[in-house]
Amino acid sequence: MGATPLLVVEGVVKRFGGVVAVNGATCSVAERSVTGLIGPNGSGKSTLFNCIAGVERPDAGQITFLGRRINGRSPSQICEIGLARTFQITRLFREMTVLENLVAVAHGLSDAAAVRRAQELLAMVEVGHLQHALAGTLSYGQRKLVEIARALMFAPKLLLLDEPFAGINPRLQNRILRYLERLRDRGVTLFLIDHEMRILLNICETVLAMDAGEIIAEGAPDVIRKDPRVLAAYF
Amino acid sequence: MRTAIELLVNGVLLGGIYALMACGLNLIFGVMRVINFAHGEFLSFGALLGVSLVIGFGVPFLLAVVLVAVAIGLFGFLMQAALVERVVDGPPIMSLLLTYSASTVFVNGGLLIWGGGYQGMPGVFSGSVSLGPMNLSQARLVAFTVAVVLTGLVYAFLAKSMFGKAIRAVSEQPEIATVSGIAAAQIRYLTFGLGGLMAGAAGVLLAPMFASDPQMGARFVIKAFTVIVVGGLGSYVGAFVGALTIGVVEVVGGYLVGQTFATALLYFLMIAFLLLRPSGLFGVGIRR
Repeated sequence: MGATPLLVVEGVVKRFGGVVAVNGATCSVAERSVTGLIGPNGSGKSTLFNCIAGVERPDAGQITFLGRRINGRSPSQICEIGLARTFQITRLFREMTVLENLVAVAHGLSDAAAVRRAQELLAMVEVGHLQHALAGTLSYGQRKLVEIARALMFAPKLLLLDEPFAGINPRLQNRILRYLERLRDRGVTLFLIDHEMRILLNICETVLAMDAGEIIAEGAPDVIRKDPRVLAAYF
Repeated sequence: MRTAIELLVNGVLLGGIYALMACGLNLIFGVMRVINFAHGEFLSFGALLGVSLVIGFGVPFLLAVVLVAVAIGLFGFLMQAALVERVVDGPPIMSLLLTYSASTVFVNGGLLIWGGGYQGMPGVFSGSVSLGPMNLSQARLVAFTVAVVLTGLVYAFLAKSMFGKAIRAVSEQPEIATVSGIAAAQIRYLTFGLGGLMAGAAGVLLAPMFASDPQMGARFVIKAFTVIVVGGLGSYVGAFVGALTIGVVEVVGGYLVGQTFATALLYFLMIAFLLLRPSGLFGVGIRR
């Protein structure tokens, strides 16, 4: 990869009873890069993200972020170091307003500074006009945008995005793509799970392919989509 | 007609103080899904500390409210950090039994410190105030005013401040709140402390109206549970409305059917809500 790795995953194993969801996954994400993670359903992608974000504790292996071992740390501690995430199924605080959803997760800011930062981020994803709407009343696409803005409240160095393009129309997909490109240009490292090769080809420099809990291939997107191991995993 | 209005007003005044206690209890339940049986002892310790300060040391009543509220708030914070936090992720029965056991220990600790006798606050707001055709107890009016102001301040804190929003986020979706970077443990300490602060203040406010003793907590915590069942588990506004309702039922019921049966009326009300409307008036329901 060349550049300094920001995130290093080494031999991570996660079991749920007798099921091995992640089976010795090893990979790295370079600083200021955009890395995609693909794989068939049930291949362990979201579980690997959960292990990185501290939601699940790996049974074996090591995860290093910014040179610091992070497995065993709580999700909020990992966030504080500079790693944020979004979810496959968008989950906002439905009984709070859009603005409150962002301000609630602010850290180390005064109330006024938190509101200012939240408003800037909502404007960045072009939903500033919805700041006083209850999150529970938003459309699916709007929730996706608010969730991305919320994940940026911590000014993360690495943003994990779990299927940010799933279930939304191509117009909104292009909008999100534009925002992600802007974030990349500002130096935020992006690591995203998705199935949309059109988008991955557009934005990712590297794509990792996962099957049965293992990383089976790594390379440029147009190489990965022709890789026989990847094709075998999907078909 | 005058009697009816007087009863209603007195019920609302009493309900205002119950609100202070019940809102704290409901806040703790909302954030942690922990039923804090020791909440009654926050109140009884508040009342007894208040009596000690006002009668024993001559501290002005309103200053005593502030001092006691801070002290009991700190006590709640420490109880959460030392005890409840360790079982918060376990099955609900663990926290229930833990707070019940702590409650018993606190009652006995209170008996050691203050003895088993009743303690009052004679001469503190003992007069009455004429309001039009009504004669209202000065103690109730002061207690109601302070309680409503304090309940309102906590509500504003929850609605407006960054910490308050974080508390609401943890209350709504603890897992997402944690993954989004909210330090849930700190929020739980703060919430338990806030609950303690409100119950402690309620204790001092009740002291001029009711004789206090270390075992009084159980009587009031059951009323607070009734309030949150009627108002709705986990709802701050619900607890406030529920408390006013319970205050009115208690006072009006006491006048109509006698004090003993009025207590039974409260339990009837609780049973009716549990069977017919378990989410209460404003409840969020039970998160599984």
